[in-house]
Formats: sequence, structure tokens, C-alpha cells
Amino acid sequence: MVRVKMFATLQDISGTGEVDLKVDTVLSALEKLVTTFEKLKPEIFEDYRQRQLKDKIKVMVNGTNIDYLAGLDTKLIEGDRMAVFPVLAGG
Amino acid sequence: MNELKVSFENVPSKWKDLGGRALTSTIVSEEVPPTCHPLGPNNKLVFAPGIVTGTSAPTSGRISVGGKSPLTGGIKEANAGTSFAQKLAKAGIKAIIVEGQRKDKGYLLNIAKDKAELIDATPWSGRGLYEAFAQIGDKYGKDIGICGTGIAGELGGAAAGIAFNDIEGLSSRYAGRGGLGAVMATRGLKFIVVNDEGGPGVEIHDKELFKHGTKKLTSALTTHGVTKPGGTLNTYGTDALINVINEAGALPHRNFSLGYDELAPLVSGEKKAETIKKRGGERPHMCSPGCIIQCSEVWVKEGGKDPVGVLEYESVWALGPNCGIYNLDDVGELNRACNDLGLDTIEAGDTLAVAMEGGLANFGDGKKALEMLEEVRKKTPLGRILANGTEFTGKAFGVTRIPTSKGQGMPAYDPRPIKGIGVTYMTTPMGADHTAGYAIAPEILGVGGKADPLDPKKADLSRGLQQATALIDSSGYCLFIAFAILDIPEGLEGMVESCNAVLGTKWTVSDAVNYGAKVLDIERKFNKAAGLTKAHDRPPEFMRTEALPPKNVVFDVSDAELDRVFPD
Repeated sequence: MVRVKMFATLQDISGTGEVDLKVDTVLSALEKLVTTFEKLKPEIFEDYRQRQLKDKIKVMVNGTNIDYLAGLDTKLIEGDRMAVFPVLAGG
Repeated sequence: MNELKVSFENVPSKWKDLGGRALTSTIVSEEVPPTCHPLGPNNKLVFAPGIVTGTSAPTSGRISVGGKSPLTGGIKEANAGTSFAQKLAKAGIKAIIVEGQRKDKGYLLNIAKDKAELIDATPWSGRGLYEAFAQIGDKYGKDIGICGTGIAGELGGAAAGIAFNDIEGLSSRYAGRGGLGAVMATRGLKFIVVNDEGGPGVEIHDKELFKHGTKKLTSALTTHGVTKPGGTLNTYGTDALINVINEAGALPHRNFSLGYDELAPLVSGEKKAETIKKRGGERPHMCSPGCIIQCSEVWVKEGGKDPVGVLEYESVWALGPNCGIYNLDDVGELNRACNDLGLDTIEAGDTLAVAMEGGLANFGDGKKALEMLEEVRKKTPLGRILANGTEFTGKAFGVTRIPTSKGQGMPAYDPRPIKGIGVTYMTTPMGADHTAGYAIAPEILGVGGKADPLDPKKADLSRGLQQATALIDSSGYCLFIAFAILDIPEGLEGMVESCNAVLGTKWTVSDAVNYGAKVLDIERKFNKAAGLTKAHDRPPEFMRTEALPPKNVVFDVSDAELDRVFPD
């Protein structure tokens, strides 16, 4: 299983902070997420049919942004930790 | 202060276009001998609202405070968001320069229409700042700005900040960094009160341009996902960063010994917002009138009692995970103690963590941490050590993992897995300061572009951000407008236009960035004359040799890359 964590507005919208999913890529994890929590779809995807993520949605796998891995095709294996964040900042 | 004299002077024409940080750093560089003792008679303390502060420009209630820092030995500018800044500007005051030294007692500078006088502040000296601010408010009226230095400053502690009033009048808004509270207290100045009633307000040279510029900036701020009403800053506050930086493996836990801990969400912005809602505190909230972003809040105890003010991300991290503490109530009380004693929360948190590593308490022991801060209130030898900050405390207790740059404690991002912010920590004239060039925006948040956090080539990124920051710190706008204007060019144009409208200048965006570069140049020249060299632009040794789990990386930015930020 892969532990998928959601933060900020995504946590509020889904009503949960994390789910365990049996998935093998980041894309399949996100697909499963928005299928389970329909209201997350417009928060995560700009165009779901094209599988285009919304601007500034951040997805990390074991602490590394998927922009510096293989993007949505990034492989996931048992025990991986995936985190999804909406646009946010602070400081 | 020697003669307890206050006088008004016209602003010299050479300072006409300066405000905020540009003005404080210029005055300090012109009037303070770089080699003077920061707590001695030759240092000066300068307060200056920003260029547009006091106007109707959105999110612009900032004040800069400058002087020679007892923490870094170099020039310092620290700024805060507070109605004090707006009232000072509306009273027609471009800067306050505090010079000389008075050692008999502490004084209060009372500024009102056509009047400025120094008054005996003995009744409020040696007191906590919450109580002092409340009593001063009772005496001088609720609609005033208050600024003060606390017991930590009275000790000459290099961790002492300068407190300003929030909307409720609490001593919760801080120009915290660099020990300027000690500079203030050692001048003999304890408090400043400003009443802007009957003041001239801020002159605007071109009202149409001002309206046009602020409209463009407002549009950017109300559109961008970070800064808009209902956006992340407004909903969760700055502490929304706890989870993302923890997930990135860069949230320093237990004195910079670990970058991730699954307990971090217990002190996150999400958790805090939920708790404030349940308890009846306030969220969102303005630090000063006219803010669109409203990232502030009022944290309260169970039952909605005993308001602390805002618990910022940096404060929560410093007094929380960095000390192994994952309980918001403990963090809230530690933050209350800092606000009351006049301590910079970042420096205090770094200091407590180093003290814990030195054996004074166990990591995670919030009650003991609070007891340690109370030593400052009692003015014991231990309190005096702690009030002097991270590096001093580390040396006192034989600790070698001391997370400082130029003697100033590092903020809430470990530079080993996020190289760009490390380059800023090491090279800014201010000592370790995330706000000096916030590389986290592109490296982690994807705001203002994207940059791989592990790429060690970050000199150009850090330099550009440092220049832009020096401009914003001078403008009077809150640094958080950067999230919007870095992504929305019209917002940046609007910001520059609003400055032109107030000053009567014709800056282009490029001129404005050069303005920031000139401020840095002034500051670096001061530091060089004060004896700071390239050796001071280096990380603490442990960051080169100890890999930070879980990413297990060291700070591998080369010395040559660090020196490339500001080639001489």
C-alpha cells in the first residue's frame, strides 16, 4: 500500500488527511483519489480528460517533488509516502 | 538620549526617495561607526515606515527598524506589520533616529501633533510587555501606536526584539531579529507612543497614478491563490508551511538533527486553524488596517481565554519541532513568554534547542522550556545567557551543532535539502534570515518560477530575490505581496507605480530592482567596514559534514558559488 496524504484545502474538502491506496504510479494514485473524493477533481486537475494537473498543485513522493522525478508517471512501490498540496505559501 | 532632548528636522533631500529599509540602512551607514560596540554610546536606532505606509495602499503597514546588530556585528534591518507604522507615517514622520545613551532609567517617547517628549518609563520597566502595553494604552488612549523593548532588552540580550502593538493592542508584532531590542534598551529608550490625530498624512504626488497602481496590485492580491481572500494564507496562516516543509524533509527537528517527523501535523496551520475555530479565537485577522491578505490570527487558550496574538510558522517551528515539542498549547505559552519578555521567537527557539542539546532539558519538555524562559524574567545568570541567543548559549554549554550564520539563528528551513535558502542565509548582510531572499517560493512552493531544491547552483536566484526583497522592505508593502507579484506582472507594475505616485519618481520595474541592489550595496559596505569578510558567508561546519535525515544530504553549495552572489 502507498500512503497518500492531503493537506490544507484538500484535507478539508476530502474530510480526511490520508488514505492508503494500492497503486503503482502517481497518476493512478491521483485518479483513485478523485474517484473516491469526487470534489477533489477540480482542485487537483485543470483538465481531467487530458490528465493535466492544476497550476501549482504539488505532489511529492518520499519528499521529492514529482517535477524532479518522472512526473505523473513516477512509479510507486509498497511503503512509499505521497503528499499532495494545493497552492500555498507562508514564511 | 544623553540630554533627553527631542527635536524635529526636515528630511534632507538626499533621503527624499527613501523609506523603510532603504532609509534605515542609509542612515545607519552614514551615521553609525561600523566598528562601534552595538550596545555602546555610538550606535543609533532608526525607525522608518515604508514609502507607501500610511496611505490606502493594500497590505502596507510595515515599519523598518535599523541599527548595528549585537547579534551579527553587522548592519541590521528588522521589520514588522503594525498600525504603529501607519500612525507614524500619518503623523508626518519619515524616521525617528535615537542616538546617545541614558543609563539612569528607561524612558517613553511620546509623539503627538507637533509634540515629542521623553517621559519617565519606570512604571513599566521590568514588567512584561502585555501588561505594559495595556497600561500604556489606558494612559495614552486606545487609538495609538505602541512600540517597546522588554526585559530581554533590559539585559542587553542579543536575542531581544522590538515589539509593536497588534490591532488588539497586544505586544505581538515584532521587528524581532538581530537584537535591536537591546540596542533600544541600552539607549535608555523603553517605549514609543504615537498618536497621529491631526497629523498631515502621507503626501501623494500623483493621485491618479496611485489609484491606478494600487488597483492593479489589489487585483493581483485578490486573484492569486496564496494571497486572495479564502486563499491559503488567509485560511491557515503562515503555519500552513509546517506540513509541506516537513514532507520535503527540511523542517528542522530537535536542533537541526532531523528533517522529517510524523508528529509535525500536530502543530500545523491546519490543526491550529481548526483549534482556533473551536476555541473562539480569531482567524483570519489583520496585523494592521488595510491588509487584504489577513494571514494573522489570535491564538487563545482552551475556553477562548488569554489571547496571545499570532503564532507564526517560524515561531511555531522554533518553539515547537525544533525543540521536539508537538503541542500547540505548549508552543502558545512559549510564544506568549517571548512576546512578554521581548524575545525574538526564532532566536529564542534556536536558543532553547541548543540549550536542550547542551543538557539543560530534554527535547520535548515544554514545561522545562517555559521555565528556562522565565530565567530571563528573573534576570538570573542562566537567563542572561539565554537572552543572548543561540551562538552564545551554544558556546556556554559546549554545543557544536549551532545553527547560525553571522551569529544569527537559522529560521525554519534546513538549508541542506533546500540549497537556495541556504545561500540566502549565508550571504545576506542580515545573518541567517529567510525573508532576505525567500528561495523557498520557487524551490518548494512553485511560486515565482520553479527551481530544484537540491541543485546547488543558486547564486543568481538568491541574489535576484535579495534585491527584490530589499525593494519591498523599503516600499512599506508586506513581503507576502511577493507571492502574487512574482507570478502576476501587472501586480509588480502596480506596486512600482504606487511608489512612483507617492514619491513623484518615474521608476521602471528595472529601476526599482536596482534600488534594491543599491540598498544591499550600502549594507554590505557597512559590514565590510565592521570587519565581516567572506569567511562570515559560510555555513556552520556541521552542515557540511552531518547529513540530514531522511534525505541524508549535506550543504554542498561550494564556497565559490556562495561568493558569486556578491562578487566584489
